[in-house]
Amino acid sequence: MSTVLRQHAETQYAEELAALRKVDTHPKPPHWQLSPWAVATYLLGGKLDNGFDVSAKYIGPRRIIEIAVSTLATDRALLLLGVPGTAKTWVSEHLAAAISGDSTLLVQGTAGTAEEAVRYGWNYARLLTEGPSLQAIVQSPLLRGMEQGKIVRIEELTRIPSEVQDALITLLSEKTVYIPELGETIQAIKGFNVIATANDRDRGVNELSSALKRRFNTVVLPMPETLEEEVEIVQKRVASLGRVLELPNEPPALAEIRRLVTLFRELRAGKTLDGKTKLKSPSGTLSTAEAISVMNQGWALATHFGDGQIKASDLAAGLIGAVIKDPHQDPAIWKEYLETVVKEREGWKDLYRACREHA
Amino acid sequence: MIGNQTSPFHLFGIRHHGPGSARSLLHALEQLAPDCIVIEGPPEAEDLLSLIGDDMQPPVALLGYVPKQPSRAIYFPFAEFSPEWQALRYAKRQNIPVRFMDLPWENELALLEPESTEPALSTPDVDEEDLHPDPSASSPTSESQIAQDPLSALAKAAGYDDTERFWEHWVEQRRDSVDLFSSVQEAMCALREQQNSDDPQQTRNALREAFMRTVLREAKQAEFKKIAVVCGAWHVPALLPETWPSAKDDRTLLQPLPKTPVALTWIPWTYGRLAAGSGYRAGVESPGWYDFLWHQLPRATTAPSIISEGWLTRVARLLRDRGLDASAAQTVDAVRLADTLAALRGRPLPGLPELNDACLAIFCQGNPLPMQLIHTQLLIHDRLGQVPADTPGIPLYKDIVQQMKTLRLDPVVESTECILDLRKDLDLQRSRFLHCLSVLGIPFGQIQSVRSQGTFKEGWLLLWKPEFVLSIVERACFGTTLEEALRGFLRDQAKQATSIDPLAQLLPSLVFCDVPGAIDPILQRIQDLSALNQDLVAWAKAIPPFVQLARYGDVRNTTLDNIQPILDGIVSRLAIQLPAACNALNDEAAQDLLTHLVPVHTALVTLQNQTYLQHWLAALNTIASTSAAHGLLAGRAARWLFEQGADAPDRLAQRLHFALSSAAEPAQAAAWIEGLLHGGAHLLIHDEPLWSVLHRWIQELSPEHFLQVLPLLRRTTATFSTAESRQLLQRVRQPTAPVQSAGNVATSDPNAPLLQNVLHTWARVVGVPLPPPASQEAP
Repeated sequence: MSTVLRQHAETQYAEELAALRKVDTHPKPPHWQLSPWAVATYLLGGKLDNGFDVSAKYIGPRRIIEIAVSTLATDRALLLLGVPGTAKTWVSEHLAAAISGDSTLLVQGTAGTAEEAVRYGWNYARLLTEGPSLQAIVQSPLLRGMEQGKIVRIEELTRIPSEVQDALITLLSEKTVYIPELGETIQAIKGFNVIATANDRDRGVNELSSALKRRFNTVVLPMPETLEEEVEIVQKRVASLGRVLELPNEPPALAEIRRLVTLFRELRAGKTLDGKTKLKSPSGTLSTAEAISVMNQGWALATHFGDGQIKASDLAAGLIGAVIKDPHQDPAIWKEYLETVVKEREGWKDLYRACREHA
Repeated sequence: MIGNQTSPFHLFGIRHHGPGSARSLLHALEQLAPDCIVIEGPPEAEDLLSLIGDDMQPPVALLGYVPKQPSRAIYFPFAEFSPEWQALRYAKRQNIPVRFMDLPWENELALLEPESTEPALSTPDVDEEDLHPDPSASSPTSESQIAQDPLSALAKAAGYDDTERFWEHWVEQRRDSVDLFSSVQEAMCALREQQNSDDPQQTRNALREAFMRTVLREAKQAEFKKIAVVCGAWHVPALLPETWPSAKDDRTLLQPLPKTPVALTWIPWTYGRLAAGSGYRAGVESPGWYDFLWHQLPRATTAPSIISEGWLTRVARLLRDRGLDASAAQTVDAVRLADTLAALRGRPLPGLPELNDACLAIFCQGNPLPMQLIHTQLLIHDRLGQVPADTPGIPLYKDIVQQMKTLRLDPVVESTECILDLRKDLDLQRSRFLHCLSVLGIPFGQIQSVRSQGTFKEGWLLLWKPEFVLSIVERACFGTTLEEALRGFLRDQAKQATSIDPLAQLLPSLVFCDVPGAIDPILQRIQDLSALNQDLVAWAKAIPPFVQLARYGDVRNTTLDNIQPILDGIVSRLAIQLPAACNALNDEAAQDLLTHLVPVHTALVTLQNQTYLQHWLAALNTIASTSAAHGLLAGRAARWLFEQGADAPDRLAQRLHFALSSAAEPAQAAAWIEGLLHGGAHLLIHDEPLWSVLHRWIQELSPEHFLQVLPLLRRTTATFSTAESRQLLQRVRQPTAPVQSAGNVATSDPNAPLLQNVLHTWARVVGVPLPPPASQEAP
């Protein structure tokens, strides 16, 4: 097994991509590794005609993936929007892996992202010795994607300062970058496109200008709609992460996952699943991604410090950490939930006691 | 072509309200040139067909009702894109006879449960098996679903979400659209073979089909040569002449049918009521879209892309009209995205789901709210049809005229005053009737304020205008009697409302209408909205009508058990949210909020419900005690607390000191005093306790502090008129007694010099020169 902590999607799922390529007879847009149909199948999963099982990468509405893939096929840029933990990055990585076979052309957006990261910089050593030339240019992932006709990902677009975001506006509409020092223009070849992800909930972000928004087709990734869907997501991800972290024992029991997801969904929605009791929602997002990490943490705890079976006490610490994000309001909300819901619920006594002990 | 040399029948299986169906039917009729058209519809309506003309504009509906019980009614709606409507129009143009062949409504109504709870919504005339299912439902097609919408089942099998588009491609790709109907027939025969005969629905269908065959036999005997039969696709297999059972069998089946007298008329209909969500069981998902398709289909034959281009351009224009960004460039992108989506989903052309997805991703930038706008404005595209003036009576109109006769209210054409004494039964009924009409938007009577004593008198100004008939006709779709129309109308209003306050404004008059069940949907909606809504002002606006309702409800012996919990909810929500809402306001917002709070306070004080007052005073106390609240509101809260006895004079004095202490922000302090004293000088003049608190406070101020607060006080007192200021000064001269008309200062007051000081102080506060002492004897 590779020692890399987290493999690129195209490496991890190389077999599925190859299998899809083999059966894919639908027309492919220029420079696409797979047809839009195959890309959608890769993300949504399914059984190929030759009996090969493609695993589902995204569990959720089919139409969302269809819109995303179609958008990329029309050469409009794609903006994946959603609250934290709705698999935006996950989807964008897999889209890039399936379409270009390469998910590494990536701008990791931060407050410190400079224009060089979206356009180009200079290799000063070469610039001084050779003078300005194309070789002295340090290409940004975007420039590289334009030259190679590949999908480029921009993560956390809203964290990038507004003036750097502006550099994207003409790049996205004209698909060219002008280099004044050389008097040259770099033009994108077919197959180039951009997938940006952004979340609309976090604080301290730079709102996208409407000019930039217009250049994107926006797809909002929703929170999992049903309990079953969310349990399935958590179960799958926990199991696959466990493999990577080489946790030896059995993955967590479905019942435990269901309980955790129920708790997350109730607090997120501000009401119990039966809709009878109104609850206060804590300040955190309580996303599926957080549920996955709580579960993983519990699993690691059980493996290394317990008997390998996940118990309520293994989950409690991570759970409280996930729920209580604001030290002032959240403890009261959590306590209220414990006392009114967890305490009363059939079969949740152990969880109640464990949480009480940790509080 | 269906039919052969021996049979005169040509069967056209259609889809109700399907523009594709309508287009191909029209084409087929033109080719066939029939000499008689038989349509699936109530035979009683044949007499009314002569009314179809240029002054009848769809959407319209045939209405059948039991004359003695108009609430037992059936509707048969037609849109312009309904195949039946196009067949009727064709027959009119060609001047050929039309026969209706469905089970007569007199039987249909008798077969319907007489005490059906919502009879206004029953539409047995349109086949339940032709129901248009929710396109979002993607569950595997079961047998019963096939029976419900056979064409949809076929479309799904062919990979279409949208039956209309499926039909359209199916149709337009064929040269001879008459052939199409034979494929429909084949498909339906195949579907019906698989059908489970135990289905109870089949019993009634068997009746209806037996009757249809009877009508067809009669038509054949009448020696028509080419008979076009237009019916729901599902019925086609049962109407094929070669499969007919003997005439005797059909007669036996139809023998024992019960009957009830029925009256028919045309009424205007709306697209909103045609939409699936409106309770109409054979409703279509998006009448506006179908309307658009109907008009575009002829052009779409040569240029299929016109559908998505035309539709998305409409969307862009709508959004632009509403001030949202939607450029032509975005339209181009949306068309391309819809095309690609269709290709990815394996459809030849984008349908409504693809177009909606493209709108959401491109025009709305993922935000579902503008999609709502598109839904109501374009997809439903509500419009009202029109019926000719000589249409036989609309039941609602008849009911209103009947009630006016019974109540001896003449349709006067000159304004007439009318005083009702609510203690008399007839007058009470009249008042109810007038209130009902005005809630329905038919202002026959305008309520006038009556000067006479007591609440049992009610003044009305009556004036009948001819255009009321139109309003009545417009409301006719809500019900056949006044009461029922009112209920339907209110249900509709409740559904449309997005804020509680317009609904709450309806409440007081609804109590006067006293129609059972009318108020419930409004209350329910208010409750739902107030739980969702965080709009403080809406709550505030809702409270006075509620309180009025709670009070008048008692007077009129109406049981209004349901309003109590809602009022409870609103009052406590308001009380909880209010303190926070008073913080960080600018002057304008604070003034605005105060105008809304004054009626709330008055209402709650009048109602004297101790729980409410407790909540309310607690909220006021929080406002008055937090320095973050805007001064105007805090000052007013302090006054109300004092007036209600919740604060002792000392407490008010303390608040006054605190608010106007030297550390206080001057603007805040000035607003506070304005809040306290607003309502004019007369309050200060006549309100003894308030006066004494203020008076004492001024007297206790140190000279420096006094100079500091003086400008603040003057900001409020400057709004007093000169006369009021003088009266205030007068008030100072007579510290304990109420103001007298003339200025008589106690001449022998030993404290005269001190009094003189105080007077000077107050003169500076109110900003008028001290008048010369009334008594010249003073030194």
